[in-house]
Parts: sequence; structure tokens; C-alpha cells
Amino acid sequence: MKKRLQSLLVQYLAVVLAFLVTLPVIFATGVLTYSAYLLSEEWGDAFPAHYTTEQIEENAASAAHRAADGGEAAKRLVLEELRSLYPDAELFWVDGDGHTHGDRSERWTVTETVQFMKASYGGDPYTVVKAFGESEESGFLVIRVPRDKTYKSPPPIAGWVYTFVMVLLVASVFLLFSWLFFSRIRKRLLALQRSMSVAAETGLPIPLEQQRKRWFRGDEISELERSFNRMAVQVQESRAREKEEEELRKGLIASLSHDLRTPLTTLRGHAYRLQREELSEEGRRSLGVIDEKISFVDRLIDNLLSFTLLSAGRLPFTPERKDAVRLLRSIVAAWYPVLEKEGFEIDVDLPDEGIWWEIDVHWFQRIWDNLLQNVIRHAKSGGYVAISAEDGRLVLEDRGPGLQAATPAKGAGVGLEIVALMVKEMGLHLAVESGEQGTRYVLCLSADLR
Amino acid sequence: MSGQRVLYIEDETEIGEWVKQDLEGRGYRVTWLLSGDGAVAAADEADVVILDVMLPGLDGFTIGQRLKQQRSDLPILMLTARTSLDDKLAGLLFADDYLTKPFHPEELAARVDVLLRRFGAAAAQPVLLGSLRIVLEENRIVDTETGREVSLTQKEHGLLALFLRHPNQILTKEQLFEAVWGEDFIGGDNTLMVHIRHLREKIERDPSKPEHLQTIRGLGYRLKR
Repeated sequence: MKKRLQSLLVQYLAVVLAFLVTLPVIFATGVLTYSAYLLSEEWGDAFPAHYTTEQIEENAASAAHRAADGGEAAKRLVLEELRSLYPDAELFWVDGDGHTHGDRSERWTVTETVQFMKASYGGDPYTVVKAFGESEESGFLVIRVPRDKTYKSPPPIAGWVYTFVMVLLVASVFLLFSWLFFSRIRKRLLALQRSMSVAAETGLPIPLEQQRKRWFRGDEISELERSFNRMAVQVQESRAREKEEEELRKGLIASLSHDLRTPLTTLRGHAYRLQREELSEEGRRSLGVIDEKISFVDRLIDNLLSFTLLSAGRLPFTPERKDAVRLLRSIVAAWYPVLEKEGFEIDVDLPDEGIWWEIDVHWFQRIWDNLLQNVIRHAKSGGYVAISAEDGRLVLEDRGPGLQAATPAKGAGVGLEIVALMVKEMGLHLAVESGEQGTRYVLCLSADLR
Repeated sequence: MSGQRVLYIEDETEIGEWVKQDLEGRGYRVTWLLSGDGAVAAADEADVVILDVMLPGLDGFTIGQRLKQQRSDLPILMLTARTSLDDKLAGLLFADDYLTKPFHPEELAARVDVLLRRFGAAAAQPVLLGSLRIVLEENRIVDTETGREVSLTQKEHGLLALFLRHPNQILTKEQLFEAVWGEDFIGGDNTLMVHIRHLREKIERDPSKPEHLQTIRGLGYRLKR
């Protein structure tokens, strides 16, 4: 329930509610200011208060009333009074006989009078006709003010401004409330986003500071922040754990390598010492086999450990743009004496033109070490090995009995397994064609296959 | 070449014993320590150090670095059962060579020999190549059979020195050119070939049928000893 109360939705509803509560206050203030304005009598030069139609009628009525019992002099006086108020108005009165006085001097028949009345009603100028007394003979007062000077109270502009100001006020108060609400959310989201992007640089997310204000601790963003912090801590922990495990793995592999190789070294030492003793031909051959097997086990250990690292994705991999032909040339140069000693005929055709690949030098070397090792072990009977480069391909050929044929020295699995993994990882492709006449390995970019 | 002093640090007694015997059989004077204790003091009396990595107490990397700080002119060969790339790189940060177990004693001896030569402890020692007596430091090559004496140009000297440092190894065109000329090798460049021909004229009896400096087609050259 507490969560519900503190959710963003409830918070925003509270904002709206607060706005609704302030609405009457806004309106009361508006109405009060407007009334004060109306009561202030003067609405500015453009809208003098006495030019409202109501006021003109009232002034005319009062003037007619005051002059009702007076003679012509009294009527002239009220006429002048009115003129001082409305200098641009046409002012005259009509007596009982139909004579006009003031701004007009005509004689109207009853028909003309009626016509005038008719014509004036609702027309421009705005015309007010007020009888001086009850009887028809007492005559009537006429005031004609140009329409564009008159207006109905309240002054039209004031009403428009009032509406505008009210709408603006209400809208801006609402906007202010909403802005306060959303800017706070925005600030917190931005803080969250910042700590996430800091994470991208160091690789580790940094936990956020907890919200201090109690009210905000329960809402969805706080939930998000807490989740983020939990995640950050977990990532840091797992990173540390991973590092620890990697150290452990490395340590294990190092000591395994050491523990396996030390007895091999001792073996080789003893074999070497034996070699200098007087031995029969058979004994000498046995020593040769021992020595060969020592090398074999050594490579096997190396491949096994590499394979363990490689399949766990822990073997360092730093690809660079390198000339593969040149690398292959130095690799073959290193293997040349070995191949020579094993009685291979070696045919090397590596042109000066390079083949530039994005490869890890050590991996590339390991691939060829393993392939050549395989050739020595399985294709010795063929006595021939060819290494060439053309059209973006590196080719290794032997005349051995083929990979399917069972050969005395088995156990190439791990070595070729490593080759397959490394080739794939570097975006290369190794095609192997093997038959009874020999084996042909073709290495090229897998992108070139398509 | 006899009498060179080797400091050998190895905790495996079985391996240590036969390496010591073998090296002594080859005329070296060997001081064998079971751990890094006392290595710094013993290093003063050595021409070359053979160092195992996994040792009780301080490991080989640390000891090697200390030795190098003390005597940067002392060649160090790391001898180790650890073959991971990280270990090799860490070792080669300071060490001059790196050999993994199980090794052949001939290879160890050859590498020690090369190190000593590179660091000048075997200074002015003549090298025998067939009937040739070569004193590189003095740029003197004498055919002991005919008495003919030749001297080399700077580039030829550089090439021969490189070949002698890597006897029986194939050196690619790129390796040779970049080591001796100090520039990137450009495919199709004949400069190296011309210098090899001149060098052959000086060290081979019959330059058209070289006995020592062989061409390995498609790869490079090799000096047979």
C-alpha cells in the first residue's frame, strides 16, 4: 500500500489535485482585481467611462429631467452641459410645435418626427431621445454620439484582456506545477543515465547515491535506482570473481605445465646420458623413440593447455593487419631443419607479394606449427611437403596416406582442434582435401569464399 | 671457449645435476644454485646466467630483473617449463633468450654459446667455418688451407655476423634485410641478393656451389656449420 501511495502516478495526481485546489484562489483573485478595475471609473483615454451607452442614456435622462420644468434657458443650459461632456455629439431638442433648437433649426411635422425616430433606432450615430415631461407638448431632447465612440459597459478590451490573463494564469500555474514535478524526475533520470555512461568507460557501473528525501524513496525511479545499484554491485562482484577464477586457472595451468614438463626434462636428460654409453643398434633406436615421444608429449601438453584456454576464450587474442605470406615464410624457415631431418623433400613457393590479413601473429604461428607437426607425424611416408601462396590462399600439401588412414602416430585431435578453433575465430577458412595420394590444406579468408 | 663461467639457478636436483655435468663436459665452469638466494652475489663472478622460472622463494622473473638491474651486460637465458605466451613475453622483457623444457642439451649449449658471443664475453674468439678462420671483431677471414685473407664491407660483415649468431637456421630475406639495413624489405629488391653474392665470393671456394651459405628456395638463406 505504501508503494502505491508513493508511486509516480499518485505523485502526479497530487500535483493535479494541488492545482485544482489553487484554481478557486486564482479565480477569486481574478474576479476581485477585475471588479476593482471596473469600479475604478476610469478605464483609460480610449474608453472614457461616460461614453458607455448606458452612461449616455443616463446623462441624457437626467438632463431632460432637470430641464423639464424650466423654459428655453434651462434647456439650453443642460444642452451646454451635455456638450461639454460629449463635444463630438449632435445635440438639440424639439419643442411641442416641432421646432428644433440647438444644433438643428428645422420644423418637423409629426410624420417627420416619427421618421426620425425610426431612422435613428439602432443606427449610427447612436441616438438617445428623452422627453422633457409627461405630456407630448413639453418636447424631447436628442443626443447623437458617433457609434465608434460609444460602447457597452464593460469596455470590450478589458473583457478580452481579462479572459486572456485568466487563461494564461491558469495555464502557467498548471505548467509550473507540472514542470516542478517532471524536472525532478528528469534530474533523477539524468543522474541514472550519467552513472550508466560512466560505467561504459571504466567497464564497471558505479552505484548511485540513495535518495535523501523520504517522499521519493518509494517511487518507481527509486526502485530503478535500487535495482541499478544492486546490478552494479553484482557486476563488480562477478568481475572480481571472474578475475580471481582467471588467476586461479592461469596458476593451475602454469603449475600443471611445470609439473608435467619437469619429469619430461629429467627423462630427456637421462636419455641423453644413455646415448653416450656404449649401446647396441637396437638400444640406440629405442633411445631415438624415447626422445621423439618426449617431444610428442611435450607438444601434447602444450596443445592441451592451449586448448583449455582457447575453448574458455581465455587465450590472449590481438589481431593485427599482417602479411600472412611473410609470417608463413619465417614459420617455414623455422620448421625447415626439422622437415629436412625427417627426410622430407620441401617445395616452397612463397612470392614477395604479400597477402594482408587481420590476424593474431601467435595464433597464426600456432596454426601452422600444428599443421606442419601433423604433416611430420602422418605424412612422413610421402616424404614430400609443398608450401605455396597464390590468389590470397595459403596452401600446404603432403603426399601422406591421407587423414582417414590410420597411422602409427595418432593423437592429432587436439592439435587440429586448436587449428579449427583459431581459424574460425580469426575469420579464416581452412579447407582440407585428403585422399590416398596426400592431403591438401588451403587457408583463405572466409569472406573470400562467398 | 673454455673457462666461461655459467651461473645456473635450478631447484630440480635431477635436472640440475645433469645440466651441470653436461655443461662442465663442454668446458664451462658452472655454479649451480638451488634458489635465488645468493644469486646477486654470485652474478659478479658469472659470464652468463641460466635461470629457471619456478623457484622456491623469489621466482625467476624477479631474480632475473634484479640481476639485470645490477649488471645489464650479463646475458640471461630463461629456462622454464612454462610455455604460455604471457610467460614468454614476461620473460623476454628482460631476459636475452628463452628455452622451454624439455630441452636438448645441445640446444642449451648452442644458445649459451650465442649469448656469450653476443655479449662479447667470447670476444676475439675465432670461429671456424670449414677451412675458414673468422675473427669477426677484427674483420679478418683467413683460409687456413690456402692462406688467402679477405676483409668484408660493412654490410657483408653485418650479414655474416647475423648468420654466425644463428648458425644452421634459415633467415628469411625480410629478417636479413631489416636486421642489416634497418629498413623495411620491399618485395623485388635485389640489394640483398647482390650482397649475398659478394659475401659468397669471399667465403666460398666455389661461389656457384656454396658449401656454407645456402640458398633455401622461397624462404631465404642459411649458414651451415
